[in-house]
Amino acid sequence: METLFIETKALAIDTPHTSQLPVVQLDESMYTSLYDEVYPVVASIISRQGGTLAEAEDIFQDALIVFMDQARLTMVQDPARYIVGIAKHLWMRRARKENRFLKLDDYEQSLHLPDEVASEVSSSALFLFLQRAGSKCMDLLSDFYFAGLSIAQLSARHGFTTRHSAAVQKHKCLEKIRTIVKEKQLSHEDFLE
Amino acid sequence: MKTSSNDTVLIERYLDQQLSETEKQAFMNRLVTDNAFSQTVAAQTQVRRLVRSHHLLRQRERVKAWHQRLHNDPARRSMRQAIEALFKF
Repeated sequence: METLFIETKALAIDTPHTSQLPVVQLDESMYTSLYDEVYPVVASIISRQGGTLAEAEDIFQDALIVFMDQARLTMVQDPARYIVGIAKHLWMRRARKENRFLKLDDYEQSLHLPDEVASEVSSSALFLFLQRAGSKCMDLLSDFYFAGLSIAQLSARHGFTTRHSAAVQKHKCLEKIRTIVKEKQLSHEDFLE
Repeated sequence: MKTSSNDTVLIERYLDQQLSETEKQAFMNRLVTDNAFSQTVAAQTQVRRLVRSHHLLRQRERVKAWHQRLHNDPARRSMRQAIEALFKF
C-alpha cells in the first residue's frame, strides 16, 4: 500500500516554512478510498466484538482523525493497517469496562493512541465559551497548529494577502485567546479543565 | 501586565520544543522566579490544549459529513447493505 506524507509546518511565527516533504491532501477523496477499503474491515471487527453499527462508525471516524494527525507529523507506511490498528485500540479503550478485548499483533501493539480523540474532546465551560466567542481565532489557530496547511493555504483560507499578515493575525489571536483563558481561570474555577 | 511579543514567541518555541539546552535552562529558571511569566506560560499551554480540542471537533464534523455522503451514495448501496447485515443478530 502507498506511503503517505503530509507537509509539516513551522509553528512559531518567526520560524520559516522549510518542509521538504511532498504534500498529500487528506481530503474527501482520500477519505472515500479509505472508506471503501478499510471501513468494512473495521465494521467486521466491531461486529464480531458485539458492537453496534453506530459504534463502528464512531470508531472508524475517530481512527481516521488519529491517522490524519499522525500523517501530519510523519509518514505512515501502510495507512489501512495503521487505521485498523488504531480502531482496535479505540475499541479496547471504549469496551474496557465490559471486558471485551481484542488480540493485537506486534505492529498493532506498537501503535500509540493519543490521550484525547475526537469523540472525547473537552466539554469544559471555557472551551464552550471559546467556541462561541472566539471561533474565528480558534479556527485560525487550529489551522496554524494542527491542520498541516502551508502558509499559502492558510492565507488563502483566511483571506490574508501576505505571509506577514497571516503571522501577525495568528499572533493577535493567540494573545486574545490567552487573555480570555487567564481572565476566566482567575474568575471561574469551573472553567478549568 | 501585558506580555511582550518576545515572550509570546519564546513560549511558542518552548511548546514546540525548539529551545536550545541553554535557552531551556534559562526558561525553566524564569518559570520559578517570575510569577507573571509562569502564569502566562500556563495560559498559553492551555490555549494549545483548547485549540487542539477545537481542531479535533472540526475534523470530526468534517469526517461525519463525508461519511454520511458516502453512506447515502446509491453507488455504494450493496456495500452499505453488507455492512448493515453484519450487525443484524
